[in-house]
Order: sequence, then structure tokens, then C-alpha cells
Amino acid sequence: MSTKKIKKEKIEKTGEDQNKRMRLNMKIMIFTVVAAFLYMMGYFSYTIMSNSSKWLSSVYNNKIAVAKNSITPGDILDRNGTVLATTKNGDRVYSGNLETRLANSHTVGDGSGAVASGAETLFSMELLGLDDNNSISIITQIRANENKRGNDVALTIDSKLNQYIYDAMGNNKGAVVLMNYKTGEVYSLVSKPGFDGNDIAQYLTDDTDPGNSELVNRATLGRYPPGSIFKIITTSAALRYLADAETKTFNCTGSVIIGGVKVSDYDGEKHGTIALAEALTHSCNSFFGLISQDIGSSNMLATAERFKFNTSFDFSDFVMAKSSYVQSDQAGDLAWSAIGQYKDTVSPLHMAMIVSAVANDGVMMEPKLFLKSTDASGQVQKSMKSNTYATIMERQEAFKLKTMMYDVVTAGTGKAAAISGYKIGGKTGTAEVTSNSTTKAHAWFVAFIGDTNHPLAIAVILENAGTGGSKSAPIAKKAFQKALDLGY
Amino acid sequence: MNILKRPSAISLLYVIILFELSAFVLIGFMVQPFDYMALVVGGVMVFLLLVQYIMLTRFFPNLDRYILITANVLAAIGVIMQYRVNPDLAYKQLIWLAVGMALMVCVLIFVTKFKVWKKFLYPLIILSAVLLVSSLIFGKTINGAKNWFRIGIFSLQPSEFVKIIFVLVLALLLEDPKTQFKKFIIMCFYSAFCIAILVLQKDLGAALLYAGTFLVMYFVASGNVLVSLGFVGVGAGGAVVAYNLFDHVRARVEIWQDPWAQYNGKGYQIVQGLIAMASGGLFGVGLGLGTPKAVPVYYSDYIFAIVCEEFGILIGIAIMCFYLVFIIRGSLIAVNSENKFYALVAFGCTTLITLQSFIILGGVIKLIPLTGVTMPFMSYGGSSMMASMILMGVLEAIAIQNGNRRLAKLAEVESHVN
Repeated sequence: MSTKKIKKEKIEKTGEDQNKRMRLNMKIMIFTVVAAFLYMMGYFSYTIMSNSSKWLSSVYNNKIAVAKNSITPGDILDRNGTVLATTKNGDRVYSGNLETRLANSHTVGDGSGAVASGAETLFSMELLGLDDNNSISIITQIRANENKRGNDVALTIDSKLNQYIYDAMGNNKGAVVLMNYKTGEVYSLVSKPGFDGNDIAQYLTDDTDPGNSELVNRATLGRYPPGSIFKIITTSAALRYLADAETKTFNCTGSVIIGGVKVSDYDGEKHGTIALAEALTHSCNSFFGLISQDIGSSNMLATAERFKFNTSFDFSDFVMAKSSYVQSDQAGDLAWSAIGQYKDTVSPLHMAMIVSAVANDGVMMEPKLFLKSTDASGQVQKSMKSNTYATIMERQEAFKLKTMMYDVVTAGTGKAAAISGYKIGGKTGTAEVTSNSTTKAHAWFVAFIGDTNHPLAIAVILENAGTGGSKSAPIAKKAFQKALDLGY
Repeated sequence: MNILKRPSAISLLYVIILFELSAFVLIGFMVQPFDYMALVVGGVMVFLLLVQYIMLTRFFPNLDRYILITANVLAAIGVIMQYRVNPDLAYKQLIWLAVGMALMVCVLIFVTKFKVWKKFLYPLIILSAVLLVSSLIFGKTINGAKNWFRIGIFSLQPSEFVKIIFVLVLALLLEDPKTQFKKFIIMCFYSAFCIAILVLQKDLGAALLYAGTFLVMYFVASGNVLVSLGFVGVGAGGAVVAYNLFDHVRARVEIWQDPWAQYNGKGYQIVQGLIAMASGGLFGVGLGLGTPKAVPVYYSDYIFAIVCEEFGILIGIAIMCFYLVFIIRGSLIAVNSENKFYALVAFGCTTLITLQSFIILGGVIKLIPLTGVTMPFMSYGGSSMMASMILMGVLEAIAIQNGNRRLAKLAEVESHVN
């Protein structure tokens, strides 16, 4: 009798204890939830406050598009004052010359928003006379500017140079970026084929050739395999991580098996026993495949990221694709990645920035497209300020790279780019797109002029055109020549 | 009488009525000539609120007023935004709100009277399984998830209702002081089954909701930290497997990391939501002055973004606080319940609201990857509104029980004193 009673009490007691325990657990959960919600509120306020001006001035803000109905956007000019876009009777019209329109199409963009990577979208706030750093909200500013005219925007590009380069590219598709490596000003940015801003509808129909992609800015948004121009990065990695980088030699027999994967040289060419400088001059795949094994995959990744691969570019003047370098522990993949194949991708503008940094003693400048804006009375509102984006190499390392790249043009694969009287440094690239041998490779050439009075750097890519040395180097030469003639 | 005894709750009510009416007057001025329908909708909202509040507090003095009021505020903000963007949506939503309120009262009365839940464990399990499976088989795909069920002219989302049954079943299984092994196994299989079906329907938000609710209820009931951590591990493992197995899961994570990279594709909604919220600033651009239609699904999952655009971040934070008030009051109902089953049901219902609001709010502000669930009480949609109202009915029923018991105890003590 008594044991039964005790047992019953015990059960009741454990039941009660359990309920107490449960209440405690519930209270723990309540505190956790309160903490989570407080964190969410904090994050919410912080993220909106710290990012709002960036998000609002984003090219994707539809409110700006709506504002165009009530405010007349200003003109877009090139650096010499040539009008590239203007508003006539409420319609946005582009330069009267078709050639000019096509060559400058990707820097100018279009007002309808079909191409969201040009000046029309990037500087839409400025063109409408709106200020994103102003404490007055955009909506209020839009209302204040109603029925007024915005600011004229001058770009850093030279429309004549753009047109010259566009023509020089012939029937090839591709892109060219020519910039000032000291200031970051982009003098020329061409993506071919361009589009006609006065008749954008023709590209939006279903029967356009998707291979042309006229509306894609290849120079900034193209994700191309870099091929041998990536050896600039591998060379930098060797110089940094290997004490004997400059003296170490490998015997090139035209091809080499690394990790069970065959890495072969272009046309099976045998370079013999060579060191780093010579390997870069002749673009020896075997050498770079082998030296990448000594550098190691994590050092290769670190170097690529130092050169701003795998980095989201957050520039005010350009919408750029992220370049990618994927680390692999497979020896064969590592070798291919060191010669710019495997999963490496890069945009022509990024490549121009890299070669600019080499020329500029390792300092990478932020690329600039916006030169200045002037209001209706002719008063300058904003003007370009050069920005250092990153220091990606030490001076010494940059100096060594420059020296090797001069050799490429004087004695190596880039001879076609030589201009008498100027020190040109360059690197060729022939990037394989498929293993299919009938498809021609992309032809790359990157170069700079080693002259402080003419601080020019260039990146050229011609899609499926052949070798970089034979196809792209001559274009780079012509472009440099023209830029020098124009006084840059 | 009771109303006068609680001045804080009734003054809150005045503020809400003022807010609703001024909002609808403002909306009325948005078009020329003045839109009198806005006033009618506003009037109906206020009428519904008052009738509901006065009737319920009269018949059930122990009802939790704060839950009722916060739910009403959230619903009111929802209807205001829907009317402002698309009056047709608001009319429908108003009907859903009225139906939901009626349903809430029915559920409230039912739960206070119904005492034989234990007998219905297996029927409930079978009912929920049938509903979920049938939506998988016969369901039609809306917004990428196959979780809709068409009956006549109505589209229903079974998972919205099954989640309530899910909580009831778990509470029944976890009720015993000593969780029997058999029940533990049934619970695991049942939960895994429900979650698996939701994943197959690509309804990731609901799957996350169910899994989280299961975890919280198990931890609270058993207090077994080790097994709870084990479940967390299984959940994390499942998430990793899902990430590697399903493209749509990977896509969600990618656009969460960098929505701007896929602006023209899957990142569009998040980007437009962020821009909308940033446009508002602290105080908003003003009701009727924003561009809510730029944000896809603005009337449902993304209603928070467009509310922030027009009302400002401060109101956004206030909305988060409203949910928090609801959650804390709901949890307290569970804590105050002396019956383990009802305590667990109340806590489960609160957890559903907690997780659902956190999943969607966190997704919209890009704190966590976006998975589509509705904002409880605010989003447009009959299923969501009715399910939320039923949850509130269950909570209120348990609150009334608690209050009645407290009064009875008080009376007992008083009789002893006398």
C-alpha cells in the first residue's frame, strides 16, 4: 500500500519535474529567438545604412529609368567633346555616323536599358543631374529636377581611336582595351560586333544570331580563357615563391606528361633547356607546366587572387565579370591552370589592368571611364580622380617581369608588335577553346609601352582567330601607333 | 468592463485604427477623383477589428489581447499595401481575412471543448500524409514549387495546413513524460517523411520550417541535448546532400552570396528588394510614392521590401518587433500551460510563426538564403492567412484555458481564506 503510494508520488513528481524542465527549455528557446531577432534587426539597419547609396545608384535601379520620363538626360561626349549621345525631341539619339555608333556602342550603352553596362546606365544619375551622395532622397531630387535638363557627361575614351581600332579588327569578333596605366583612364574600349543604338530593336528579335551577341560588352563581361597571357601571373608566382626561379632550368622536348596528363607545346615545338625568362619569351608550355608543380597549387591560387582573380570588381565606372582561377590538387590540372587553360577565365579589361599594373611598377589603377560632368550652364560638376586599386607586386618583381616582356617583343612570340623608337613589352596568348582542332583558338595579346610620357597598356582578344602573335599583336601595334599619333 | 481594465491594450487599438484610417485616406487621394472604395476597405478593416476584439474579449476575458492585436496590425499593413498596389488583391485578401477571423473563432471554441486528441493520433498522421502526397501527385506548380492544390476556383497550399497537424502529432508523440522508444521512432519517420515530400516538391522554405519546428519541439519536450544535436547534425548533413544533389538548392546559395552577379536571372528579385528597401531610408518615401511593382512577388513573399520602401526602415524594424511580441506572448502561453500536451502545441504553433517570419525576413534582407515562405498574416494568400489565423485560434484557446485555470485557483484560494 505504502510502496504503491510512494511509486505514484514518484511518477507524479517526475512528471512535474519534467514539466519544470520543459518550461526551462522553453525559456532557453525564447531567449535564443529574441537574440536572433535582435541580431536580424541590427543586421537589417546596418546593411541598409551602409549599402543604400551603392544600391540606389546601381544600374539596376528602375526608379532611375522612371525618372527619365520627367527629366531630360544630358549628352554623352568623348574626351575631345565629340557628341556620342543626345536627346532630340524627347528621343535619345546617337552619333549620326553608323561607324562611330558601332565602334562606341559599348562604352556609350543605350538609354532603353537593353545594354546595362554602358555610360547611359552607369552614369544615369549624373546624366539626370541627381546626386547619390546627397542627403536629400533620390525621389525628392527627381521631383525637384522635373522638366529640367541633367548634366552632360564626358568619357575618357577617344571616339576616333575607338573607331580606328574597330576597323582594324576587320571581320573578327573580340575586344580591345587601351588604357593609361598611370591614371587608369580608358582611352579605348571596343567590343566587336557593336550595336546600333538608334535601332536597338533589331537585336532583340528571336532570329538574331546568338553567336554575335552584339549587346554583350565582351571587353568587360567576356569570360575568356586567358591561355598563355596567364604566364605573366605564373611568372610572378615563380619569382615570389621560388628562390631559384630565374636560374632553374627545364628541358623542353615539345611535350611533357604531368600527373598522367599530357601538356604539349604549340605545334610541338622543342625549346630545349631553358630558364624562366626564355620560357616566357617563347611561351613554353612544358616549362610553365613543370614549374607550377614547384610553386604548388595554394601558392598559384594566392598569386592569382593577388592579381584579382576570384574578386568581385566594384568599380563605379564599369560592370565587370569576375575572373576565375580554380585551385586543383591534380598535378595535371595545376599545370594546365598555370598556362591559362583548365578553368581559368578573364575579361579583356581585367587583362588590361594586369598588364597596366606590371608597367606601373606593380600598382593596379582603378579603370576610369568618367572624365567629367558639366551642368547646363557649363559649370563642371564632377571630374575624374585617379584611384589606386591595389598594389599587386613589389617594384622589383614588376621590373623583372617588364624586362622579360620586352624580350617577348624583341626576340620572342610578340615581334609583330614592335614599334621602332619605343620599348614595347608584351605577351602573346593562344587560348584553346575546345579540344576540337577544327575550331581555331582565341588570339590574345597584351602589351605596354615602357615610356613615362606615353604610359599606354593594351589588351587585345580576337575570337577564334588563331595565334596571338600573328593575329592580335599586329592590332596592338596599330592601336599603339594610332594612340601615339593622337598624342597619348 | 474588461476593456476598461486594460488601458494599454485598448490604447494600442486606437493607434491602429488611426493608422489604418489615415493610410486608406492617403491611398484614396492617390487617384483623381478621390477613391471612395479605399475608405470602404479601411472602414471594413476597422469594423472587423473592432467586432473581433470586442466580441472575443467579452466572451473570453482571458484571451491574450496582444497576440490578437499584433496579428491585426500585421494583417492591416498587408491589406494596405495590397490595396495601394492592386485593389483587386486587397478585396480578395479582405475576404480571406474575414474568413480567417471566423475560422479562428471556430478553432478557438473547438480546441477549448475538444478533449480526446489522443484517440486521433493515427488518423491525424494519415490525414497529413495523404494531403502532402496528394499535393505531390496532383499538385500544380506555382512559382517553381509543386505545392498547390486546386479545388474548384481556389488554389490551396496543403503544406500550410498540414503544418498545424504536424505540430499536433508531434505534441501527442512527445507528451509522455518518458518518451517511449516506439513513439520516438514513429516521430522520426513521420517527420522525415513530411520533410522529404516537401523537398521533392521543391518547397524548401516549408521543408526548413518543418525541420526547425521538429527540432525545437523535440528539444523542448525531451531536454535531450545530445539527441537534439544529433538531429542538427542530420539536418546539416541533409542540407549538404541537398546542396550537392539539387541545382535549385545550389542556385539559392549562389544568389544569396552575390545576387548582383545574376541580376538578369535568379538574383533579380533579391536585388530589386534590396533597392526597394534602400529607397525608403529611415522614414520611407511615403505611402503611394514608391515603385513596388518593380519587385517580383511584391504582394506575398516580398511584401516586407515594399513596405520598407514606402514606410521606411523604422516601420520595418517595428514589424520585426510585432512578430517578436507575438512570439514572446505565444511562448508565454506555452510556459503557463500546465498540461504538457497543450504546452507543446502552443510552443509548436509559436515556433511555426517564429521560424516562418525569420526565414522570410532573413531571406528578404539577405541575412540567410532566400527560400519562399509567406509572411504570416501579411502576405497575400488565402491558405497562408487561414493557416496563420488557425494557429492564432489554437494559441488563444490555450491562453483561455490557462486563464480559466488561474481564475479557478484564485477562487479556491479565496474560498479558503473565507
